[in-house]
Amino acid sequence: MNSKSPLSPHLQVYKWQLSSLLSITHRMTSIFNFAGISFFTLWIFSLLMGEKCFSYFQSFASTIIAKFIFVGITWSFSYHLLNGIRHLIWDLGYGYELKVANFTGILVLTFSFILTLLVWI
Amino acid sequence: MNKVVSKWLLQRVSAALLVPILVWFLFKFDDLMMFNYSEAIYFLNNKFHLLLLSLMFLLIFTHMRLGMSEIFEDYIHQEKVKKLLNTFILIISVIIPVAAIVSMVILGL
Repeated sequence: MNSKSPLSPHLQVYKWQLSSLLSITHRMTSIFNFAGISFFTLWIFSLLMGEKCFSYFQSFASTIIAKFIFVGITWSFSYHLLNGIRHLIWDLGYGYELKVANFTGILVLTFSFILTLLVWI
Repeated sequence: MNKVVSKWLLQRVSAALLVPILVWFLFKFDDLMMFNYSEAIYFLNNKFHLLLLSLMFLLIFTHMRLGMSEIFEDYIHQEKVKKLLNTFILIISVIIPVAAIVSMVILGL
């Protein structure tokens, strides 16, 4: 791409607002989602290696730390998915007004926790 | 179509297709992680599950590759580093889904 294209405002010099906080969370959850899908890939590989190898995965999956990771992955996917829908609606040309954008942001944040709760209850 | 435009569009199309697949996956995820060996194999024996999971892998890694290159575009100054990182992501986004899908097909058939 053109080397003259502008760089984004770097985070250290940017004034925090809800919109920028949600935006950077979108990018951070994308990294966690990669960790999550890699984790699921490990699940598949350990299955392929046979019952003994899978039992190691199982014993890890039964720990408190693993539960914490699973719920974390679920929230990360939920947030990125819901905020992604918000992005798609923007791409269609709707929801740019400051009040609306803030409202849908809070909506996304709230429902990311509700979706996580629904999955694990 | 302009290359940048088609990338932009593919990023959105893969996202939209992932929405229903990921909702399905999330509601299976809690069970999947608790399954014992035979329950897990039984889950993969279902062709519909295999299809959805394969699509999920392909779409996620397509989406990830495009998304990461957008992030590099925003924050990486040096063209060489950008190119190297993009190549690295491309390799990952081919190897992982192919390995995962082949493994699931071996397990499921």
